[in-house]
Amino acid sequence: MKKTILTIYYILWIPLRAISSFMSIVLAVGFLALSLVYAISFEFILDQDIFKAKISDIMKIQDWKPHDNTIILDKNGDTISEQFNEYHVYLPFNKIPKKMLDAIIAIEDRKFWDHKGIDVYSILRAAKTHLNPSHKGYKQGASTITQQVVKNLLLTNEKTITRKIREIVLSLYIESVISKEKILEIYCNTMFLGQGSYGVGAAAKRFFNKNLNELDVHEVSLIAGLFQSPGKFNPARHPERAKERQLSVLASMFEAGFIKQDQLKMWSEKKIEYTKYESIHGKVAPYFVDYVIEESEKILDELDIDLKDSGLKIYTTLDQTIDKYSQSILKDSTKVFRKMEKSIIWDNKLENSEAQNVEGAFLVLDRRTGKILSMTGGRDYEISQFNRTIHSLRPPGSVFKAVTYALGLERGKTWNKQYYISPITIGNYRPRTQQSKLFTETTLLQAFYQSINSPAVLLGNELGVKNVLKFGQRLGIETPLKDEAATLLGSSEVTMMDMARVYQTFANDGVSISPVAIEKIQTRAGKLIYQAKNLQERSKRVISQSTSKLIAEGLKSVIQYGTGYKIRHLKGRAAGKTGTSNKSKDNWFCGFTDDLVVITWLGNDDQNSFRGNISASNTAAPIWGKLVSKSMNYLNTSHFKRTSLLEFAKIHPRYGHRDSMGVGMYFLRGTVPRQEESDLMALETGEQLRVGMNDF
Amino acid sequence: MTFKPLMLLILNSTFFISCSTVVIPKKASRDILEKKTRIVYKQRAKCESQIKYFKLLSKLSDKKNGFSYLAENSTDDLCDLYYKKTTKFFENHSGKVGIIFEANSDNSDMDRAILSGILRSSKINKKSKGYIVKRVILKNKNIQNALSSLILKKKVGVIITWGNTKFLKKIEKWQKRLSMPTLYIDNKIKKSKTAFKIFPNRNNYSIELVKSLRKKKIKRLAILTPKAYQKSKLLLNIKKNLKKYDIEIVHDVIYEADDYHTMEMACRKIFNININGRREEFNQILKKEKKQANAEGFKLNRKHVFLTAQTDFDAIFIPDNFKIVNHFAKLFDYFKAPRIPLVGTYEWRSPELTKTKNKYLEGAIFVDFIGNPKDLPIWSKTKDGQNKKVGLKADYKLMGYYSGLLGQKVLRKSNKRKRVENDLRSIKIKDNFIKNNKAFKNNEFNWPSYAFEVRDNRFKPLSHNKSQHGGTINE
Repeated sequence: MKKTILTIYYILWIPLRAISSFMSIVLAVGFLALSLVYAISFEFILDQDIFKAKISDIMKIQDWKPHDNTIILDKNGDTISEQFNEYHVYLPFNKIPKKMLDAIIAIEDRKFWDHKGIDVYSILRAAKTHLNPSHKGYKQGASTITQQVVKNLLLTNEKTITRKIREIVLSLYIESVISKEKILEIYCNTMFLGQGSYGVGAAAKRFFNKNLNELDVHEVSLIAGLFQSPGKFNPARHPERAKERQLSVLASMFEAGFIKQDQLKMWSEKKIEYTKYESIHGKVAPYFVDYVIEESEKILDELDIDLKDSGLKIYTTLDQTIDKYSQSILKDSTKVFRKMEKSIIWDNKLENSEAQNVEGAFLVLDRRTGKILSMTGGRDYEISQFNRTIHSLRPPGSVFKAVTYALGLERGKTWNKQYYISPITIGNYRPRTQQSKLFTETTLLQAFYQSINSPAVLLGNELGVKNVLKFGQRLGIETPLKDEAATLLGSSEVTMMDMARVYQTFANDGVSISPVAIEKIQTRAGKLIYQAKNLQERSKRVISQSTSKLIAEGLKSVIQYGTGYKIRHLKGRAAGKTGTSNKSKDNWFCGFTDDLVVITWLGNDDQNSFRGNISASNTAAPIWGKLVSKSMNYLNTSHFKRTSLLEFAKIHPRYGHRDSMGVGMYFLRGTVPRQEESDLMALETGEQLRVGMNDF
Repeated sequence: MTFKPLMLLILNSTFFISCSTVVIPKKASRDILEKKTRIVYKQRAKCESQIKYFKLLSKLSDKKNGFSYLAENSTDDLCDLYYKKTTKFFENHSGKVGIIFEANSDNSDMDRAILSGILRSSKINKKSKGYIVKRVILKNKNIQNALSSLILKKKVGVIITWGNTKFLKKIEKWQKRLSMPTLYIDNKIKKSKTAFKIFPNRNNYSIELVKSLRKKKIKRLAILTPKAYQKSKLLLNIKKNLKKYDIEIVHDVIYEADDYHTMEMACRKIFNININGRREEFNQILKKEKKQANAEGFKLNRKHVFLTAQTDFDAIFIPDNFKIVNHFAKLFDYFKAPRIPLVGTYEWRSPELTKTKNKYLEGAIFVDFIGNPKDLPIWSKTKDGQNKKVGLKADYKLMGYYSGLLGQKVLRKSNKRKRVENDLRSIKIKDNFIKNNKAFKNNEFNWPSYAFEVRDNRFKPLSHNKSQHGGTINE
C-alpha cells in the first residue's frame, strides 16, 4: 500500500506541482502519458530501478556533507599543510559571492530560481540546438543545476533513457525537499573544475591562488565556464578556449541581466591573470607534517574518521622559526658535509639510493613540556622523504653512555670514582679503546666527558647489563635493546626519538615527559575530537632529582672540558653528549639548554663508514651548536639555574682527589671528597715517592 | 785566623801512630827494626804524597793557629814537624756530630726528611752533644772551608753527609785522605774503611724476597722488567740471589712503562700468545668460535679470537710501581691469563695498589725495607700500620734518624778519635726495627726487609724469623 502511494506521488503529484505554465502542463501531460505507457509497459523495471531503489540515494543528497581539506596548523595557528584526496575549499552558500552565483546561473541554468527541478524549455531548446548543425552560438546545457547535482552525486555518466528519467524524477523530488540555496551550495562545492579542484573555492585557489571572495567578475566568469567541461576549457592547457568560454559566460550574464552593456565590455576586455597554484605541501616542515599525519591517522582510525577531506583542523606544536633554522643549518653546513663525503668508505653502496651521501637530521623538543618544536628528518625533503628522526634505527654510540652513568650515579657512584683505563674483556667481548688513552687512570667524570670506553663498560658490567637496559627503557627508550655488553657502548640501534626521551628526562630533573606533536584536533565547526594529554598526565618521575642533576652536570662538562670542545662557547648554557658509533658510521650529539632538547644525527643511510678523524666531536657537535646558538638568541635562553641539592668542588680529573687546579665536579651534599693528594698524582708530577730503584 | 782545609790532612791518625813509632824503638831486634823501617818508609812515602795536598792547600792555611810551616818548601822534616805540633790537638774529638750536605733545591724534600730524622734522634738521645750543620754549594773552596770548620775548629768526631754523587765524591776524597769516619746516606759510595753507608740493605732485601718466594714454593719465575730499571743494582742483586737459591728465571722480558704496546707484547711473550708458534691451535679455536658465532647469528670479529694463555712459571715478578702493576693486572685479565701469584718490590706499597680490587693482586707478595710503621722510631703508633702510606719522607727520615743516632752513640763511647771507626763496626742497636743486631755489616747498615702479602685488598705481613736480618737461607 505504502509503495503504491509513493508511486502515485512520484508519478503524478510531484511533476504536476512542478509544472507552472500552461505549456508546461500540456507538455507534462504528454510526458505523463508517455511515462504511464512506459511505466505500464515496463512496470516491473520501473518499480525496481527508479522508484524503489533510489529513495536511499535521495536521502544521500539530503544528508550531503561538504568535503573539505584538513589543515595542519603550527603552534601559532598558521597553516603548515593541507590534506585532501580531492582538492576542496568548502564554502557555505552565504560565503559564495553573488557574482559567482550569477555567472553560474547565467550560463548553466538561467531559470534556476524559477523551475522545480527540470526546465522543459531548456530540454526542447537543447534538443533543437543539437538537431541543428548550423547553429554556431553558445550552447546552453539541457540539464538544470538540480539535474547536474543529481547526476553528479547519485548517477553515472551513462547516456540512457533510464538514467535520464531517473535524473528528472530525482531532480523533481529533490527540489521539493531541499532548498534552492542548498542545491546551489552543493553544486558550487562538489563539481570538478579542473586542475584537481572541486568546487568554486578550490578552483579560485588553483587558477588564481586567491580566495573566491577576492575574485572579480571576469575571473568568476571564467570559473563558471568550467562547469560544462573543465578539461576542454582549462585555462592552463587551452587558454584561448577558456577565454572564449569566459566571454560566453559574460554574454550570458548580460543576457540574463546580471551585468550591463558597459560592464560586459569592461570585463570582456579585462586581461585575466592566472597565478600558478603552489602547494604548501612539502614546503613547511615537511618531515614534521608527515609525522603529524602518521600520528593523526592513528588517532582518527580509532574514531573512524578519514583524515583527508574531513575538514579537520590539526593543531600542532611546531615552531616554524626553529624548524627553519634546523632546515637551513642542514642545508647550509656544506663544510661539514663535504668533509664527511670525502671521508666516506663505500662498503655498502646501494644502487638507486635516493638519499644524499651524507644525511643529517634534527629533532627539537621543548624542554619543559616535551612538545616537538621541530623535526627535520633529512637534509632535503625533495631528495629523500625518509624521516630519520623516527624511522631510522641507528646505533647511538656514546650518547647511550649517559644511561649507564646515570644508573651508576643513582646507585651511589660519585663523579670522582677512579677507574683504570685498560683493555678489557667481558665474555668474548673486547671493546676497543684508543691506545693513546690506555694505561692511565680516570675519574668517572673524565671518562664521561672524554667518552672513554673501558670505564663505561666496567661500570655497566658492575651494574649489570640487564639493569642498564631496563634503566634505559625507564628513561624512555622504546626500541628493544640487545642484551649484550656492547650495548653499553651504544651498539644497539635506537631512534632519535628514543634518545630525545632520555635526554628530556635528564633535562627535566628526572621526570620523563612523553613528546607530543599534536595538541588537538577539531572539526571545521570547532568540535573537539582529540585533545593531547596535559603535561601532568604525560609526566612521570623515573629517576631521582639529584641523580638527574648530577648527570646534567656531567653533560655540561662534556662541553666545558670534553668531546664537545667545538662548542665550548656554549659552556654553562648547554649540556650534551657526543656519540660516534663504530667506524664513525653514526655521529650524534644529544643535549639540551634551559629551553630546548636537541638531538642531531649525521651519517650515511647505507651504513657506510668514514675514515680519518670524522667523529661526532667535529661533525654533529658543531652543527648542533649552530642550531642551539640561533635558538638561544631567538628564545632568549638563560643560563642553567643552580641547585642547592649539589655541592661543588675542584677535583683532579684523573685521580679524584681535591685539587684547586682540577675540574669542577658536583656531588650530593655531604659526599664531597676530602682527600687532598694521591700517590698517583705524585707519580705524575715526578715526585719521588720512595727511594729510587736505581739508587738502591 | 781560622782553621783552613789544609789542616785537615793532619788528621791521619794512622800516620800519627806510625810517625811516633819511628822515634820510639831503639832496642828492637834487627828484624823488628827492618820491619819498622819498611813501615817508616812506606808511611814516609804516604806523607810525601800528602805534602802535595799541603802545598796545594797551604794558601788556605791559618797562620795564626801555627800551621804556617805547611807553606814552607822544605819537605824532609815536614811530616815529623807537623805531627809533633798537631798530635795533641787532634787526638780527641768534641763529641759533636758534623753534618754537611749540598745546597741543592732539587733535594729539598730529602734534606728536610733527613734533618727531621736526625732531629728526632737527638730528641730521644738526651745525652746528645749536638750537631754542627753545614749546607754548602758544590764548590771545592766552600766544601773545604766547611770541613775545616767542622773538623779543626769544632772537632767533630763523625760526619754525616748526603747529596748528589758529585758532591759525595768530593767528601769521599777528603774522608779517605783524612780517614775521617763518615756516615753516608747513600748507596753508591765505594767501600772504604771509614765510609759507612746508612741505606736500605740491598742484600738483605734480595734475600728476604728469595725467602718469600721459597716460602710460597715458587721455583720458576717470569720477570717483567721495566727498561728504566734494567741496570738497577738491586735488580741485578735479586737476580743473582734467585740463581743462587735455585729459582729459575723462565722469562725476563723488558718493557717500557709508558708504552702500552711493549707491555702488551711482554704479556703475549710470557703467556706464549703467539699465533705463528701455535697456528694449528689458533685455527681450531677460530673454527670453533666461527661455528658458535654462526649459530648465534652474528659476524665473528677475528680480532676478538685469542689463544689461551699458557704458563710455564709459578709467579710473575714485576719490579715496577703500583700503577704499572695495576695495568698489568688488567692486561692479564684481558688475556684471560690464569690467576698466578704476582711478586713485587717496595714500590708497590701504596693504598692505590688495592683500590682497583683486581683479582690478580689477591695473594700477591712484595718486599719492603719498611715493615709495620708502628715499629718505626720515627712514627707514632697508628691503627692501620701495614696499609699506611710510606713515602720518601719515611725512607729518608729513617736514614736520618739512624745516622744521627749512631753518630751520637758512637761518640759517647769514647772521646778518642782513633776508636770511632772500630766502634762503629761493632755498635748494636736495640729497637723494634733493627731488633738487637749489629748496626753495620761490611760497613753497610744492617737494614732489615719485610715481606707483605695482599689479602682482601689489604697488606698483611708474611711472617719470617726476623731476629737475624739477611744472611743466608737454610736449605
